[in-house]
Amino acid sequence: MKVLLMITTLTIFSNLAYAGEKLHLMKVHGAVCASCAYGLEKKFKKINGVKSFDVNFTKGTVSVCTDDNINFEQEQLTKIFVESGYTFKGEEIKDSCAQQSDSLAEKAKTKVLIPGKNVTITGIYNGMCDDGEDFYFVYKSDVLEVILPKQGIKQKLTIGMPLKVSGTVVSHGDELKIKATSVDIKK
Amino acid sequence: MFKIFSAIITSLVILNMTPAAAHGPIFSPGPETLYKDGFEVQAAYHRSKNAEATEDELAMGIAYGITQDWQIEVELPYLNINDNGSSNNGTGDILLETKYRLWLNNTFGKQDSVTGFLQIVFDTAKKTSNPSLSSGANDLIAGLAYGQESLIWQRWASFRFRYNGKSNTGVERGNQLFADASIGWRSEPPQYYESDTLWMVEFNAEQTQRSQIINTDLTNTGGTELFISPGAIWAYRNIALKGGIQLPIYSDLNGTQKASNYRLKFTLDINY
Repeated sequence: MKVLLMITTLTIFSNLAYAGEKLHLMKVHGAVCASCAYGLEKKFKKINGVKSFDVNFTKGTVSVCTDDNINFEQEQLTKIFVESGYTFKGEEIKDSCAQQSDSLAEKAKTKVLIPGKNVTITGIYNGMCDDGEDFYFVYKSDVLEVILPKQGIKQKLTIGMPLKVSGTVVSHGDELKIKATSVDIKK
Repeated sequence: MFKIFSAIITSLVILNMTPAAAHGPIFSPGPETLYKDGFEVQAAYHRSKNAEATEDELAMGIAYGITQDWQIEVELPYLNINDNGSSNNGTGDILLETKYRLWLNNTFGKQDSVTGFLQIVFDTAKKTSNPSLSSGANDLIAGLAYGQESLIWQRWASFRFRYNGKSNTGVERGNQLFADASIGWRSEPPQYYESDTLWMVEFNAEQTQRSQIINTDLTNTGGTELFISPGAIWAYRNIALKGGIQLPIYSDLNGTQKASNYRLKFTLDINY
């Protein structure tokens, strides 16, 4: 019973910690170094209600945690990014700031998944399409998707099928794209 | 005659002034401009040595971003020169610079840009001689810098022309051409709240025309030098430390001039 109470209490505090906040997740083009992106931090932190600021260079995103009542106009965001030397490519609002800072696992992943690196990733098949003669393995927001050429399919894939894909990272922005050298489909 | 020699030496002292750029090459200008209303304070130490002379320079600079594409900067050096047993020290020539980004292309994880810049080196140095700190003239530098920065690789190239004014001793110091190419590399993409280390190699070419007095070439002036310059940048958000060494790999200097042994440069840049 004590254990149950402790878990309940932790859950309540955890939810309270993010109450009244929201996350502005913005796509940015041109952000390539921390010292260069400092201008963005300076401009956002001048705005009342802005609590924290972070940049994920690998994903090309700027995340700003604000009070729940703060909304940015598109023109305002475009101006901030342009005056900092970058290009604003869109905004997405999240209910919680909890996901602003990447987890350690996420940071480890982004350090590994850089273009040109050979990787092996295990995931769940989420669809298929014809994309030329190469194997491509794509994930979007932790949902994995395999793209295979018609000729290369020896195994009929079904949604939810576990896969192990090895290959070279082509790009890693909002989605990860791997040019696969092997696709191991587990039944 | 000694005055003439001193004036020529001074033209070498201010050879390596480059615009401040927290995340650009060390010995050559980069294309970066400050964000709008941003400030950058820079402290730099520079040493240049050849067989006959050692020149140490401490410089303080401040830059301001008028817009995201246009910045101005002023730099004040303090010099110490040792030349064949004689030494002199004091304030050097004040440098005023303006820099304008002519082209910018932001794409995912990459930034390409071209910047034009103009510098005026005012003849404000301490006027005592033996050896002289003053060139006795105002000089003008104009050039272009290109850069392509990505999460792992960086590439820079620049071209500069330096017009050296006629000194008050009557010496027409030779004008100079500079061409630079640099590559930078970091082992993994940067994280905003972690330090970022970038390794660089620059190739710097300098060509100096002969100096003249009363339309007569001075024998021991002018020539060409090429350098390879390894260096590194360590940065954490708005603070950057840069350091590198220029090592000569080719030298074709007129007369009996001594080639450079090495040049060192360290800078601390803070944006706010």
